[in-house]
Amino acid sequence: MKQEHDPFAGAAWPKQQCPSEEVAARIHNICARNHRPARLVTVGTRITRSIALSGLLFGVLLAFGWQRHPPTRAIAWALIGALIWGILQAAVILVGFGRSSGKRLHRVWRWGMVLTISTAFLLYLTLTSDSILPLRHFLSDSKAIRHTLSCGIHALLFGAMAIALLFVVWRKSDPFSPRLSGAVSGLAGGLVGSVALEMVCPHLEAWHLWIGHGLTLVMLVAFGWYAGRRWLAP
Amino acid sequence: MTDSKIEQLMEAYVGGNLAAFDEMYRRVSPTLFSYLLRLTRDRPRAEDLLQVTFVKVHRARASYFIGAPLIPWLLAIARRAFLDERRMKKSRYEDLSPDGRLPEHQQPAETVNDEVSDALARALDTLPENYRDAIHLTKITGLSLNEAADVLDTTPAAVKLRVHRGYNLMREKFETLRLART
Repeated sequence: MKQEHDPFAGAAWPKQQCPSEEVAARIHNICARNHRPARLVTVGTRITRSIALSGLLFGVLLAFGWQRHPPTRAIAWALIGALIWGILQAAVILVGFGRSSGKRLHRVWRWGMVLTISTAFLLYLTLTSDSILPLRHFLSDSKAIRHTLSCGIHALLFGAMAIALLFVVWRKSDPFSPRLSGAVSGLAGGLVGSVALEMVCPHLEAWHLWIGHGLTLVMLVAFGWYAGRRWLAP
Repeated sequence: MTDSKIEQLMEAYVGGNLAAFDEMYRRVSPTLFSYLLRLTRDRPRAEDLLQVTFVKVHRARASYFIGAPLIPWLLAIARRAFLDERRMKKSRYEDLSPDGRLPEHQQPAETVNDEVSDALARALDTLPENYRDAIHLTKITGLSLNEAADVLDTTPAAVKLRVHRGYNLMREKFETLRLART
């Protein structure tokens, strides 16, 4: 960043002030009472745990889905899908959480990542759809609605479990931008639920994909944004 | 202990060393208190918020990242405590007095302006909150642009702009003062 002339360089800025002794004593009492030693966890360990736990959930959902709908597409494609998911998930967690104050990627870029990946996923769903029913026909087809609801509920359930695990791993760790970190958790959770379902669900109608698979990702990002302030801020 | 960095003191405190907490408090409390004082402009409120901040720090101590800069982390917690308190005050309903009238707004008993005589401090206090915050964090606390941006939940470019605009306003105030004297 370009250095500019500081017109107040060397100015006698006000000196820092100290709180009263009484306040110091009260704070000491609060912090000393029931003080149990705690173990600090490194950022690397937290990232490893986050990726491992979301990978585990992703695997469970995939296995669960394949039991119900044995894969019709080539297994190699599924493996490639899982690999892409793994890379994306690791990138989201690394970029979203992985650095301390002063070294983190600017919030604009992190918001950009959340919005770009969500939009890219919706676009991917659109490209992979094989047909699109008129909305009125889709809404009047009870079988399609049931299937869409089932996909949505599974994606939400597994996504919410992934978010909960991420919130536990990163609990109270971000006083700077907890809502943004919450949205990143929502994106990571949404990727667990929606991508795994996308790999096992045989239904490729566009409304089904947008509502059952895509909308859940958006909902989980919004939920993460809302809940982040409560769970991720100290 | 007195030679240790504050980040090491924080780690020792989390590990159960209360002497490390006392030393850390001695070193960081003026920074936090001055920041809260700048935000609230009211000494008792700033002292209350300092306690709230340390309670939050105590509860969240295990979530501190090993080796991460401690001052921005603490300042961000202090700022959130201030914003939460202000939000709660805004949403609080006014109680009517027994005769049905609205109670008068009470001035704080002691304001910081009474204590601070320095012209810079006075000029700083008249600035809009976001400019004041940015100047305080970068010039008085000594945070980098990136760290200040993290604390204020904005971008470094925005912090730089706020400092620049704050400076312009301060310069105008000093210029008016100089003209008035001549």
